Amino acid sequence: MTARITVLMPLHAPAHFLPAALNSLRAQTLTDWQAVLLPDNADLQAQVQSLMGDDPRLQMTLHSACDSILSQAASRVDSEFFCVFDAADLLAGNALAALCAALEAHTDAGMAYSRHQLIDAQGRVLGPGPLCELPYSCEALLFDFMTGPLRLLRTSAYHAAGGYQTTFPDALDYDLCLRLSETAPILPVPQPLYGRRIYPQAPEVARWAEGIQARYDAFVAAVQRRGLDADYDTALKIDSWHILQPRLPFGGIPGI
Amino acid sequence: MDQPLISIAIPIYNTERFLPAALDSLLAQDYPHWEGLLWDDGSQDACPAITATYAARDARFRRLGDGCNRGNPPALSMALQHAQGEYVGVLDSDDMLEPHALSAMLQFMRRQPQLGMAYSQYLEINDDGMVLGEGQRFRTPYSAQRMLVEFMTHHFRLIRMDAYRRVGGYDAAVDESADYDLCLKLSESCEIGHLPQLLYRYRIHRTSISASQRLRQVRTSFAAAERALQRRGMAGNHLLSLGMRVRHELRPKHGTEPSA
Repeated sequence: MTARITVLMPLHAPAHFLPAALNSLRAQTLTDWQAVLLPDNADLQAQVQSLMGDDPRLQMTLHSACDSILSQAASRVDSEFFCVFDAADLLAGNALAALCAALEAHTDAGMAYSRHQLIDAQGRVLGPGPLCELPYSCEALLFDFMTGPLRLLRTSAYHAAGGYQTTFPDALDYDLCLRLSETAPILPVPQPLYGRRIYPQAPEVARWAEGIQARYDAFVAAVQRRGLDADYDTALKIDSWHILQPRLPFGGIPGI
Repeated sequence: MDQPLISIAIPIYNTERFLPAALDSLLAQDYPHWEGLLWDDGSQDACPAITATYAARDARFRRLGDGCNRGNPPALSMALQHAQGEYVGVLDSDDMLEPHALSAMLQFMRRQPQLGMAYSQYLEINDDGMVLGEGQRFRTPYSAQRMLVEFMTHHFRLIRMDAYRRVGGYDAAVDESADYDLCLKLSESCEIGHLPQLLYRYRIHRTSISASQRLRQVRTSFAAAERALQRRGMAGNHLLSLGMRVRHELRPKHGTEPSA
């Protein structure tokens, strides 16, 4: 029997955050879920298998390229709702329940998203996510990616918006949210229900420049889809600065 | 008092609209002992004809380049391999020098022989040559350590040739941030002085650079600072990180607001 919610869990090496992520998933107050773990390389497979144990709600799919595996996994979802939960992150205990309730209360909505907090490798809270408290609108999403990282999607709305597309592989989620915002209402749930892990080996750290470029390209595509390019030119403005700090004896950073 | 030769490298690529003003500003210097190293980096516009005209008019201009387009850092590096001067500087082919730029910088450096490089202040101008205001980078006081986080030694720079050669000159392999990379290396090997005079006109173009070009600037600038941190032996005790604010912008078409 298909669960109400499918949780897709992309997993990158190292996998040492996975136990905490699984614990936070198993602790959900809403229990009608199933999860598909998506390790991005074969070396992780055995490690993931042992961590999954014999929990029948957990499955694993292996593929070499994580971005396309996410797209493929989403295309196979047969539950009413699904979300993407990075296996380095943490869910609050009521995360799935709160987002599910929002979508149940607004049957026209295609997606609900929560606020989030940034956490470090040890799980310590660093502060609120930088954009998630901004007011959502279809137009504002062009400028700030405030819809995430925890998003519960209505599967039918996901498909109606065209699903994940590989046009902008470093901006899969932003591109999807832009398209979804053009076809269905999106609901902000103003509670911090997610812990976004900041750590040096995170894929988005290594590919930060590609991510900025891809999000900009997705923005330009959205401007064109919305017919705004007749009256507006697009530009990417980047202010940057270098920060030099003494290393603390335990390897931490002052102020954190 | 002897009058040393100053070599000014002028890398040129498709700047026909602005090049005559740049070369005229060199001709108008009140210090006559200079050579203009005109490195054409494979321009497809009228730049080759313009440089030919100026070289025919004044033998201090030397035409260089083999017609290939390699980018700015290789052009600077190769142009300055031909330099014969005791001092070197760079004039971008869309910018201009004030008439007393060379004399003022030379006098400043001769008074302080310990300096390997000096830099001035600059004005920002638009495509039409109108002054937009004073540049801001030089407002940060110079220090070698501060340069790891902020590039304050902007135009105009005059460098002693022996100091330039000691650090290996422009690194042709450094994309986009060759000036910053060179200044970081100089700051590790010699003293740098600031002459608080407006001696350079730096052009801010109306058309934006591309997103990918701006990202390359950010990335290569940070990489240059990281290399400097390693060279200085600071990497074990210090952490260098990159802060950024990224904005997607919609600009009304036919707008005239200039952007760097």
